[in-house]
Amino acid sequence: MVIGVARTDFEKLEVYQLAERLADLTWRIALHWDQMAKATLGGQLIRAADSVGANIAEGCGRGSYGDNRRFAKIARGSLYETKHWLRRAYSRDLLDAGQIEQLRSIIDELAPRLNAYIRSIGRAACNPKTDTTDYGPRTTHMSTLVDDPRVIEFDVRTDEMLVNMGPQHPSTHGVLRLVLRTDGEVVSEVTPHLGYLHRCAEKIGENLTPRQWIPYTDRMDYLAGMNMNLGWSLTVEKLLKYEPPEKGRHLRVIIAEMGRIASHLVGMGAYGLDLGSFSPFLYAFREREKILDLFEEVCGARLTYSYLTVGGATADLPRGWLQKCEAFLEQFEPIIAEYHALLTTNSIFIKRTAGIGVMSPEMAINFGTSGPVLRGSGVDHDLRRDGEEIYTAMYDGYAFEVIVEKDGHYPKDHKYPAVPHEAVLGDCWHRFYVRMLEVVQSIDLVRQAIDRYSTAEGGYGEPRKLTEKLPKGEAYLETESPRGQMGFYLVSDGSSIPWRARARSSSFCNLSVTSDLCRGCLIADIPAIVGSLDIVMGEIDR
Amino acid sequence: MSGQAFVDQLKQKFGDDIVGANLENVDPWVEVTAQGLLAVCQHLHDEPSLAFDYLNSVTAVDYLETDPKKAAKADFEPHMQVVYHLFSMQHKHSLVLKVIVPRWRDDVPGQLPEVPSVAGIWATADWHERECFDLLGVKFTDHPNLRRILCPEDWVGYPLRKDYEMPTEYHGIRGR
Repeated sequence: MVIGVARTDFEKLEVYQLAERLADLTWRIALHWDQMAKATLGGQLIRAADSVGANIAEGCGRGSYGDNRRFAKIARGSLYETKHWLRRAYSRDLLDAGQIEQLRSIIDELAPRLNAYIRSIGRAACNPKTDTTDYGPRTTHMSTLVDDPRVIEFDVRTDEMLVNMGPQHPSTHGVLRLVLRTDGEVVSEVTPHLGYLHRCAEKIGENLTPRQWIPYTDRMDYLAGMNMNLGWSLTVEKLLKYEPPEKGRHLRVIIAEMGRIASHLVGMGAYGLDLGSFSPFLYAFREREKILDLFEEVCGARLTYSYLTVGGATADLPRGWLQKCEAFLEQFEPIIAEYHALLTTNSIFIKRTAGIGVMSPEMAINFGTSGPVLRGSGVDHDLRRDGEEIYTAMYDGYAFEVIVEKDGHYPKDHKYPAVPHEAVLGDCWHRFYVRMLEVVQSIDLVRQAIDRYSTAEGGYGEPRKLTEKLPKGEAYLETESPRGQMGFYLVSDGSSIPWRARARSSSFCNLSVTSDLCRGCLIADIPAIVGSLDIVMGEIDR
Repeated sequence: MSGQAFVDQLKQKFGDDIVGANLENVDPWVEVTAQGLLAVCQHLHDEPSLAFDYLNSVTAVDYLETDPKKAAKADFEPHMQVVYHLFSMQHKHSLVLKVIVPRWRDDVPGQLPEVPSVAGIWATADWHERECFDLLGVKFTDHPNLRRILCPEDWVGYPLRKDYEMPTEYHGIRGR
């Protein structure tokens, strides 16, 4: 069946018909008033009541949604004014009980319908300008208007509804449950529910030695296991006041930055999926697979590595691995342009992400967000440069620029696609863009690290003894993992098992902004916003 | 951001609300009373030369030796430490604050110790304090929404406390 919208036929709008009835009824009532009442109250009342329908009609004739909405709102104002004059008339004994009942029934129906009508403007299923369906001669069309099934009613009443999104929804990135309070397509409240993946990691950490806990850190952010291993190892080393040898330092940079590339590739591919574009995901996973192959050669595991550990790494890089890694980077770098073509500069992608979920820098800082989410809002902060010395020492001597829009532009060290004019700093598009640029930056860092590693003298950093006693005290350290600042807090009572092991999750803070970021957006924008935060539930629930 | 001079400054401003400081630890910390916490945090946040606008983490550590043999030799009385890690985006410096409270208010088991919520100063604290309440049983007064966040709402007990015992059963699921 063909569905059409007779947009300019205001006569058939139910709101208009009600407004007509209201205007005529008030006229008939005022006709019997005395001269004094007619000249004062009567005139005002009739003018206000007539103006309701007149404005609905005028709005319809204007042709644009904006104008129509504006006039419909004026009509609403006139309706309120009518109510005022009727109240005055009632208090001056000009209305009898029957008239009041008649007026009340009209107004009680008209007021909510007018509100619904205002909301519905511009959201109709099809646009008359592009609707080319042939309805036959105009006159015959008019005659069948009243019960024409092809006509959609404008004044649709909408109710508030609670919608559960997740915990098994594919675009919630794991087991996240969002409860949306919706009114039609508009979301008025989002409440995240967490904990589906809670595995008491911190409690387990109080029962194992630091090196034994390394495998548990893998399973927090399971898309960047290497970076998690590194964060915990450095925290323990901070307490031990241990510094890995030169070669071990560069080995860690190679591994950590490769981990970042792999993680951002998932972030990018999955974001495409969230927005309904399947192919970028395949291209991203094809390349990520090669990084996993490299990691597998290093430590035997593809996802939960437990490779970097307290002291350095569990083993040195295998012979010939550096060449394979370099060959991968050589092959991978030109492919990034394809990703930009598929997503970054794709006009549909830009329409879905630019100007959506805009987060101010103040809000980003106040909520403790970090990583690309923080930098996407224009905050110039990267722990690889601004972190604690034990961490920045790892990147000492490396040339890199923090990826953030500063003074109106991003770093110019490479040729990056231009920022579209629709994008607003702090929106979903910028968060995605920062991630894409960080991939290029990581390639540079890995290349530099390979050079340094090949010329460095000494060992790669033997792991510390499994049951080594920790010094009494406590240490907290955050590192720049792909999703943001991953912090570990270690309290020791002097034994080999920590008194308290705590993981401060970056995604946990990044996710906490959803309620505020999603308020008032459309349902379809929820996956766009949540996806742009690039969360991993394993890390949030721990 | 944790030298003796800084601690003295705070002491001068807040008097007895600054209980003490440990400057020898790898991450030096300043201890604040629960009553004075809000005023101190507001000052740390607003004072331009400090500008601690970023709250990294709120957590707590339970100090209780459950092994009776070791308890006799333990060098601490049972207590709970609430730990705040702060950072300044502008000055790139950090600070650790601690509030020490009893494990149970008035030593009555079941009555949670109370600490004022700093969620009004840093939005990060909202979820972090919920987690701390959920896992360690610290009640943050005036928190906008102090509910469990990781455990189910009807969970009993505070799992990260040292004397916590895993329930034998939860809704028909065997626990131990």
